[in-house]
Amino acid sequence: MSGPEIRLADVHTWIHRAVRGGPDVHAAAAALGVAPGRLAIYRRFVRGHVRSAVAANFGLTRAATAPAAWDALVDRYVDAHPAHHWRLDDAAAAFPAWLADVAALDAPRRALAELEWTLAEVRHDPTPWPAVPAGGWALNPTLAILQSPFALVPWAIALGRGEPAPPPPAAESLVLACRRPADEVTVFHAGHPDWLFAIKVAHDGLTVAEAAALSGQPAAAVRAALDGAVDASLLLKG
Amino acid sequence: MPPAASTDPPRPQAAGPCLGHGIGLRRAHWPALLDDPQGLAPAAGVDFFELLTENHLSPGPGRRAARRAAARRPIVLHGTALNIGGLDPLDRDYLAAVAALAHDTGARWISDHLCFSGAHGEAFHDLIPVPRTVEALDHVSRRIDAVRGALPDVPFALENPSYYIQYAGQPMDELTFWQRLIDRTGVRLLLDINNVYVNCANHPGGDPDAFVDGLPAHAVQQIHLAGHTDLGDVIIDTHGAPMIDPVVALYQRVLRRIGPVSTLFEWDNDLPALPVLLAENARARAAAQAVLGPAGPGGRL
Repeated sequence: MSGPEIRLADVHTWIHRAVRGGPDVHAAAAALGVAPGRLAIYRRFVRGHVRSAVAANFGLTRAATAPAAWDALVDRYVDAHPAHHWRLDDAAAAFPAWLADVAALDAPRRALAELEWTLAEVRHDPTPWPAVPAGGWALNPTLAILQSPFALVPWAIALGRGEPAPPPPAAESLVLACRRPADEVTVFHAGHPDWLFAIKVAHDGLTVAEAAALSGQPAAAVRAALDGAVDASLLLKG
Repeated sequence: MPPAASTDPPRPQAAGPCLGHGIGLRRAHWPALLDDPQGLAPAAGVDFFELLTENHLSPGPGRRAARRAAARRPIVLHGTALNIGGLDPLDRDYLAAVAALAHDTGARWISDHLCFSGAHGEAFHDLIPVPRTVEALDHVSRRIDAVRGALPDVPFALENPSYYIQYAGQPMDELTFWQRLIDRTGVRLLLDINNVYVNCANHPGGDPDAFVDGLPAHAVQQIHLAGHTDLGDVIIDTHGAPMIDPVVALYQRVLRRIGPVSTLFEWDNDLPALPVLLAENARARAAAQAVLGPAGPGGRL
């Protein structure tokens, strides 16, 4: 080796500039004594990790967006939001709010992104599964209820199946999302009055008889609503 | 008549114990490997699981899967976020979470990479090579001591990562840096055979045989095998293909020298169906048995 040792601080600073992009890749390559093409590999990798986190968490929004527009959009996002945490998914957390800030997509697609981040939070919800007394019901602790100005569920299902689907018209809706205890898979449903009723019963800790008396419904109808919510994994049954 | 004395020189031994041949546990394979009512049948031929540390640190499904895996096979933890070569302070919350996961799963050892994976408060989620300088050697040595202080109950190893650049102003070659680091700190080595091949192919003068022959045998805790992608002007360590024959041959060269070592076949990108992964694991086992026999001394193959 001729010349002085390269300083650790300089390596960190130049690598940081290189992976953030722009003309600094060439300046960094010169400072580090490496080939720009090889240094660009790391730039692609580092940015690609954030891009992949966005793609993984917002697959439906991506499917609803033209590929070129999506690529440009995510590039802008990566510039604005580099990763700061060892949890890579955290790098995608700001995407829905950023979309709103920059008004980069239309309102239905922004709402779809909000739904997808809700699903991501459900997927990673750390709450332990509760012990449910035999014969009783409990709310699924991962349950999230999202209010949206668009009927997102049919649209999201169509996109998930790879079907072309235009954005839905404005219509207030509720989305119920949770993780199934049996296989830890995240599911979502359009809010249904019977399920919302069942959630209320379980949340308030009512018995079937109490719920029937308060709602004026037959006990069999209350029980059917509760069983339906269990089948949808919104409630857990002991 | 006394038995004839062996003419073979004593073989240096790797850092034990040898757990056999394992695979990385990936979410797509959880149902087959962790939920099968037959218990261990789908994981036949898998002696241990390596968990990607960051996937199991938080409470929730990842942690529950880690516990289920630990009930079935020995566990080792392999991380990417330690940032041992970084200048940002070590993340104490991260280290505490790793310690808790290691305790939860009874991890036999934990590992990460000799690299830096963040700078100036940003996380790269990639493995950037540490310059092979005296300053970096001092810095990494101090951080190894700090990690051991935070994780006193579990052996700690560093992997030789693949790298695509070599900085100007590096007074040491890679082998010398590793020799000095191991000599100074006693850190254990997770020897990635594919990375040795890739690095030697990507940089002029690379000699994979000389590199593996020069490593201190007593430090080798585990071996990684993997596939890569040859783009012509550069080989990328993609972990997305079967291993190639020269990597298998290099693996066998290491085993001839140091004996049985816990070996893991890595496949992370374009994850195949479980039988494909198990076939590569079986291929690695057969390669080891071809060198050391059906069961090596002091360890399972």
